[in-house]
Amino acid sequence: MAEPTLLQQGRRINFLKKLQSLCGVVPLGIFFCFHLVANYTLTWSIPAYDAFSHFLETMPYKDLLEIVVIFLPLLFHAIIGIYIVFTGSNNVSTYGYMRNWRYLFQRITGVIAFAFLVWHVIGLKWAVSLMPDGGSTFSILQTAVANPVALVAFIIGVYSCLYHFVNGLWTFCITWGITLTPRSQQITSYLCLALFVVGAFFVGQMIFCMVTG
Amino acid sequence: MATDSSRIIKMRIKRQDSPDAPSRWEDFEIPWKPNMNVVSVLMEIRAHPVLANGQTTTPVVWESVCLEEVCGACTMLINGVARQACSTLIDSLEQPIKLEPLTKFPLVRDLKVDRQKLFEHLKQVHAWIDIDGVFDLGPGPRMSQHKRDWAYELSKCMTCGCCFEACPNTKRADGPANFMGPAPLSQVRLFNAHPTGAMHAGVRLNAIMNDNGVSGCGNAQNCVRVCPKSIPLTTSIADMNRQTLKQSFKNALGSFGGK
Repeated sequence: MAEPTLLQQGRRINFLKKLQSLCGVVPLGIFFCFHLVANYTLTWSIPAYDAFSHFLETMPYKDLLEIVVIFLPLLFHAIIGIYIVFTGSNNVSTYGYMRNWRYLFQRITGVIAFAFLVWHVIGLKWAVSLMPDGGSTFSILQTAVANPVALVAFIIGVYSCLYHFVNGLWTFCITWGITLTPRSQQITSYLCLALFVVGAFFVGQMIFCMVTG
Repeated sequence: MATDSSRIIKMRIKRQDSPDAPSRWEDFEIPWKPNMNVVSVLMEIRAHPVLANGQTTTPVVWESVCLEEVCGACTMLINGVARQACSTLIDSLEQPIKLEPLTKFPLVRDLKVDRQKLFEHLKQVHAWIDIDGVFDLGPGPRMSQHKRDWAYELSKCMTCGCCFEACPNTKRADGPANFMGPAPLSQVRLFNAHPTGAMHAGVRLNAIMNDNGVSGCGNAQNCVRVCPKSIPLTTSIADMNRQTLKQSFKNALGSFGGK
């Protein structure tokens, strides 16, 4: 096969960036929402939370689904995302507009979210998968955030994911040519803010239950 | 007009004698006159190139052509923000007024930069309408007045470089990013909207589906805030996202409706 021309190489980056944007919503954004809803069982009771996580642990083709729907898209989203972070710059000190700050936060929270998720998967997911039958997922979670530093890191990590997802939805609508006009972008901005408030309340309630037990 | 000798304008200018020379700041104090703009102060300095401390210096080098904000040549950083020196009035600025060259273009001298790459981007995206052929193509189709009014807003772009300068995703002199910036993307929208220009719509769209094309936008939206002509740059970029998406389906699956 002939070497790809410069134009084709450029094409590939264009395509990968589009795919990165899509990945952030489907499947990652959808999974993130599902994850928050699953966590909500903690507000019912600890046994309900443990039962639901046991159900998820024992899903058919769980490993395959996790790899295809979560880990590969996440890794791809993160690698292209880090490329995007390092090819950009920030100039909020000169151009301190709200949207420019949001651009900067999208990149900061993206990097935090990735670091958090590496810790989250290694620290919690593996621990849960190594758990003996009849063990409590909640007790593993509680042990993981028993240290106040870990708890603060956990809270920053979850809220970074939430911001990154919600602001990413707003940019997704532009990147995929859905919202063109300033007015439509303003409306999706308000909708995303509302989603952030609802999500923040949801996460807050879950963290409160996690700490108080 | 009488000059008010009690008022002076304090100005700090970033000087650099050649592309490789070190830069330095020089302070000037110029007698105030009514209705001065940055260019007229620079002209005063050219007439009397003397620093605030009385030392003689070389005249400051800068570019300007039209003096009425339609050519874009005098674009520079005024108090840190990219704008035109001709249309920036002295009385609207905080002092000392800081003048610096644009940071995203190769420096020639003092406030003069080489903005050639803006022209290269226009060439890359086919920012013109083909009217020449091997035979007379005849008159083109007419445009409705409504569409002309709309297109006129986009046609106000003077390739001044403000949007390119304010964008966090365009290349600094030493940076890795390679984004062509908002202006050429908006030009694709303009020329694709023209009935004759639309015959080459696919050529222009394919030209912005590169590594320096539309996917280089990070949605910081500084461009639309700094554009001196109030061009709806973010709308143009989002529209190009939509049009290139359609074009990529055409490229991958074949065209729809014989186009």
